[in-house]
Amino acid sequence: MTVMEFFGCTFIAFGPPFAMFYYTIAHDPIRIIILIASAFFWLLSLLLSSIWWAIVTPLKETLVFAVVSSVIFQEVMRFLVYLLLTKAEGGLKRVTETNTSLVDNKHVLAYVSGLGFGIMSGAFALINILADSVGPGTVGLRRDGDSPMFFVTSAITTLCFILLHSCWNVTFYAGVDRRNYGLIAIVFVSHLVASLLTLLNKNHLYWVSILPNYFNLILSAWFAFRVAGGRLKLEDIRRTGLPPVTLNVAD
Amino acid sequence: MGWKKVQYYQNVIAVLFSICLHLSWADRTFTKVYEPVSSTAACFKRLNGTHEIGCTSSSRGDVGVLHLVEDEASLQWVLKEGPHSPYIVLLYPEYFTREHILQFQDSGRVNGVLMLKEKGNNSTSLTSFSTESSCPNQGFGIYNTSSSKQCQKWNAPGNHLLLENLDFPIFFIYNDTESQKLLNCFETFNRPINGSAREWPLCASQLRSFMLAAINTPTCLRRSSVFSMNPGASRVCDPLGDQNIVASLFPKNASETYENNSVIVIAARMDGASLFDDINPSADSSISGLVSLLSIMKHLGNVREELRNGQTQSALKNVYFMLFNGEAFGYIGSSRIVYDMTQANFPFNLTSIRYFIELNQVSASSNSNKNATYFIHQSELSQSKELTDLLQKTGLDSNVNMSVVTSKNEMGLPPSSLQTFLREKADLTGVVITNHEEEYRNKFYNGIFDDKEKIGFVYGDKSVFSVQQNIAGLSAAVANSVIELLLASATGSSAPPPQVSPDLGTVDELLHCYLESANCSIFRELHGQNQMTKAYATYVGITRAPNSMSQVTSLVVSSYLGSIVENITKEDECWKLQKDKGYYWMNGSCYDTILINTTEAKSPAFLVDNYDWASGKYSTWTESVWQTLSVRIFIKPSLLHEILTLVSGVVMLVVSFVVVAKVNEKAELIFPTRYEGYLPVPPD
Repeated sequence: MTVMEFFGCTFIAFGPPFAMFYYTIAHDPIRIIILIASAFFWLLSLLLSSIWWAIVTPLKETLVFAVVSSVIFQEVMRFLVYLLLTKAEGGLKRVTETNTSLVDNKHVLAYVSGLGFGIMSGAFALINILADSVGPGTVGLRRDGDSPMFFVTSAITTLCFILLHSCWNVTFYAGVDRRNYGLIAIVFVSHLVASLLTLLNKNHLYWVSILPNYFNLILSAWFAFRVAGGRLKLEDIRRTGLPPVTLNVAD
Repeated sequence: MGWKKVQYYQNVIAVLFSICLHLSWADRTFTKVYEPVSSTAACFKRLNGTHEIGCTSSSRGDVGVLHLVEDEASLQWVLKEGPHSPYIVLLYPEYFTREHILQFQDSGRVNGVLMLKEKGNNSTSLTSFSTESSCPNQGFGIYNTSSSKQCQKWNAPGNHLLLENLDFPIFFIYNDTESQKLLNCFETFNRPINGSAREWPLCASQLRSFMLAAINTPTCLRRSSVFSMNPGASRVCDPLGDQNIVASLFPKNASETYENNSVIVIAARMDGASLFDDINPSADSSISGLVSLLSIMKHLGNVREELRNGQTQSALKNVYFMLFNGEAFGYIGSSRIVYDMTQANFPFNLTSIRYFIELNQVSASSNSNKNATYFIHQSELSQSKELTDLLQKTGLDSNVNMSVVTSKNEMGLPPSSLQTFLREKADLTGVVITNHEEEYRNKFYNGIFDDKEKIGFVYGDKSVFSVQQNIAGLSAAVANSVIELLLASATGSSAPPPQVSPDLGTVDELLHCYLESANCSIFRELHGQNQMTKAYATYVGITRAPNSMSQVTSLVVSSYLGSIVENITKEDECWKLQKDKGYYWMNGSCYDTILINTTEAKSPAFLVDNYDWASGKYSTWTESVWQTLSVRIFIKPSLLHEILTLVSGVVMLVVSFVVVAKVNEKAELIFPTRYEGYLPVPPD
């Protein structure tokens, strides 16, 4: 990959998450801590997945098996982060006296930790590829369907997963919170479908996996939006003046 | 020779890195991108007192689009027409000419050259290939610049590229499957269709052969010494050199000094050269003479006792065998021995030498029903009819013709180690025996294709006109001449003088060892272990790293001239006496190798204080240090593709900043704040 491709792909995959981080997280140390903590939990799920993969030798070659078990581990870790945050809520409340939105609106909490989950998974998905291919060439030498678009499609897929994780997290926490197991099932199924779709990449069907996954992203985003109580009333938003507020997410 | 260049810490890192790689080898992305090309030999950089020669890449390697130059059209494509410059030129040896390389260099459109082997297995398609100068070792011999003989075209096909400073990397691909990789890549992606260029992406290659040294030897030696915080870490070049082998037929007492004209020297050179690292078969250039000398040594060693008894009255006291190393690069080995003689660091000095017999390129295979003809060259100032007559007479006994090159020959003395000796002592009686009268018969002198096929060597072929037969005949002739010389003045000896007859078996086996496989019976037995299955490189290498070629040769010499110590049968006992008595255990016996010595073959230029590097008196060659030599091929995307990727990434970044900023601004409206915490409503 050339230097230009390197930066192009990095910006594609990490541009939107970076913007989200910059505007919604960077100003609040507690949010950064939560982001890092959940990123750590994603790493734990990776560790468990790889141990599991290493132990169950007969299925090493079967990628589907690794994907499914990895999805399960990730969802378990997501639940553990939820438990941790619930336990930590009292403490969090005490240290965030000046800015109460974090504990007042638990969807913010869910979103922040979801983004942490996503960023770490994205980093692992893409940085391996980016770091491995520094140099003047690009994919395509073997002529068996390897596309020169390999790096770009990898970046696009990575972005999709980072955003998906944020949405899933909001839906998942709301589901656990409200004992609405349907929402949890939706997240799990959506995650499983998204991951299994990437298996098509093996046959170089990059767009066949990317397009459904972005559709999946739209669905997941809509779910998350709904459970977070979002409403889109354009005329409200277009109005210039904001109604008097007591809490401001953007500081 | 690459192994010795890599600095140790890098080795450690490389090992750790490769361990990590192995743990996660599965299917790395770079394997999708890069295809390494192995079995390559690189052109590298050498420096002398005033110049640098050879090739180097930039530190990160040079990249270009592959293009096969196979005819005039494709040559023009690379030089002028092709739209995708810079190119990496792929070519067959017949296109590797001085003219083309200089054209590539001048065009500024070529970033490197990859030379393939000759097409198919037809090694005879190439009629000549020598990258050496047309007058090898010019300026180091007896003829000064005013003499027309200083540069006679002895090596007529020589294109001098070995001594040229080339500003792009060059590699030789000596493996057919690796060559095929390159050709396939070119055919699939790059070959113009109906004269019009293909679209991106194209197959490109990256050549890495970055050389640390530059400018000239004094500069690089100074750079090497300036920064040496830890020894060796900052070395950027090393003097060329290795060891000479000097062996005598009879022992010499430490107190004994040789009178004037009391020693016969028989000499040959061991080393060859080529443009490419590690590939220098030198079949005719040096191996033929070396094998011949070894055979003479064996003959004389076998009759040593008779000679010892017969020559007590003779004026000739001893025979010295000398094998010089580094001769291809300004007579390093011989100039050092002459220097040692003048410094009295040698068992005898120049005046002690009565006859100097040098075996130069002596491979000869004759197809017609005629004996091979060898030529005896002499310098104008040191003719000896006695010696040439004797050689001619003994030659006939061994079925080789010896022809004396007339003294008024305009070519003068061919490049040879004898020249170094004549420079110090012009009237030294010396002959150089070669297979050529005027220009070299060897059209591949000091080149990568100077191999066994070119001298017509077939292992086991002992027919009358085979190369083995001729070299064996020559060796026997020289050995018989030496025997006669030693015994000539002996009087009262009743026993008839010993005669030797050509030893085909030895010559055959030695040629096999040096040209085909170092894992031959002789080398294996002497080393006591298996050797690599290809031949040793003949390139002299650098003084710091011992050279397998000269090491094994000194063992061969030891086995021919050393004597078995009967009363020691255990290996460890033999080794205990190595220091004191020069004992050496090989081939299941303990050898007394006191007669066999090695001397340092490092140019006197590196010893003399305040040597004037520009004087050209001694060889000043050094070899650059390098870290990586590698070739890889890959697909290079079009510039448009790269820019598009970058632009879309930047657009993505900017758009997401704008969108997120807007959404965040309106977050209150989109997500109306409702308290949904898990704790009781906090008091306001």
